[in-house]
Amino acid sequence: MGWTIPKTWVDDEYITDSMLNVHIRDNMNYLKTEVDKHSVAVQADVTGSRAYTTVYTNGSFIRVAAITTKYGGADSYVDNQFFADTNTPPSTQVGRCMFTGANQECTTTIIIPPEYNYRVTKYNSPTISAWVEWDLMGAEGTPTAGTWTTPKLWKPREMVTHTMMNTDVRDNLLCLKGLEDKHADWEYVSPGTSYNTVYQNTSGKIRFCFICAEYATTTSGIACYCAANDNPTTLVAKMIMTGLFMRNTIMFIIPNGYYYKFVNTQTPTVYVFKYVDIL
Amino acid sequence: MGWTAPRTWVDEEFVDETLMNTHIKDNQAYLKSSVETHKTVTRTNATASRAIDGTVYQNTSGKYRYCTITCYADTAQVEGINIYCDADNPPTTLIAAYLGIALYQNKVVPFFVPPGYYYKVDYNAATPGWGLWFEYDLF
Repeated sequence: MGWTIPKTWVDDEYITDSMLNVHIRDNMNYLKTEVDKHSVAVQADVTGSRAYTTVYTNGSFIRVAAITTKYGGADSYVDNQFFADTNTPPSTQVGRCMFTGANQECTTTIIIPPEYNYRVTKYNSPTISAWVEWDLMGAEGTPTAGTWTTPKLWKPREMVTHTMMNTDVRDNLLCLKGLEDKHADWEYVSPGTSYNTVYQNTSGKIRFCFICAEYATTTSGIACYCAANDNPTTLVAKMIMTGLFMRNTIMFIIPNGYYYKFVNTQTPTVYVFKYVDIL
Repeated sequence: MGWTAPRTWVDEEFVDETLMNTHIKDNQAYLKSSVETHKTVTRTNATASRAIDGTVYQNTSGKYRYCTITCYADTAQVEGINIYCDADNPPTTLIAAYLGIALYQNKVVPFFVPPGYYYKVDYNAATPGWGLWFEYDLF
């Protein structure tokens, strides 16, 4: 059931069961469903269905796109440019990833507002090695319990008791307010993390993961995998560095309940490994 | 309309329009507005108003801020940025970095600024070229 603009109640009116069901029960259920969506990030590996130059259009949700591009070394250099806005094709450049050294790879993560168009253009011959998207709040969430009580179905001519009003109205409003307030909580974490170990996001929130690493003594990097099963094989972000002092930062999202792991090429120096759990 | 702590109802009381409107209608409207706000994102091209010189900025949006800076080594072989963010002014916690080792190797550096937090971007080795600084205020 959808949302109905809450009625303005007036004195001396006869309150029917229909009014209570539409304006209290249905609206409460709607709000609870929407609040439960907030911690949801729907992950899609769209690597096989995305291509350079093609214009894509986001739907009604906030979309995070992590696009990993690679330079094989056939050209003197390669360039990837990222655009997003409401134009067709989009003309606002929001990022750029250029390689001048062979066998490098890096993820560029951009945010695409609802209804925006977006595309990636290239110069010379880079390739897309991974393209993963997360739609935030894009699906039904797992119902959070808290103090929530399924709103009652009001009946004609029944006597409304204070218990009904306290349980179905007061307590449920407080539950919704509490869940809303909880979405403002966040936690910045600097975990100790090992390569090739599978972790799970059990925070109940969306996890934004940031890694900043530097080239080791030879070609080195980190690949990040994330999936719903406990053997994640979906590549979601990667950096491969081939030169002394080279340092990059990548970001990807780990939906609530998802598994993730990091695989290293050689052992780059990790300067920052942080995640923040939000919503 | 703001939030009013929902009243505790008692039996045999006279429920008037003020009670119903304040404690049910207005509170529902408040929650609806809050829920809708979470679905929005405000994108700002902050390139012209930001600097890579250690200037301290603060996220006063009340929202989560996701930022991306595109930068590159433009005059020397080794140039880059360090990004610091925390609750202190000036911030000292390194949260992201880029260091280029060859000219014009553009990269997007992402970082995250919680509500109320301070952030600054300083150069590493030498000031790199940069051209795109976008900020997305989320939820």
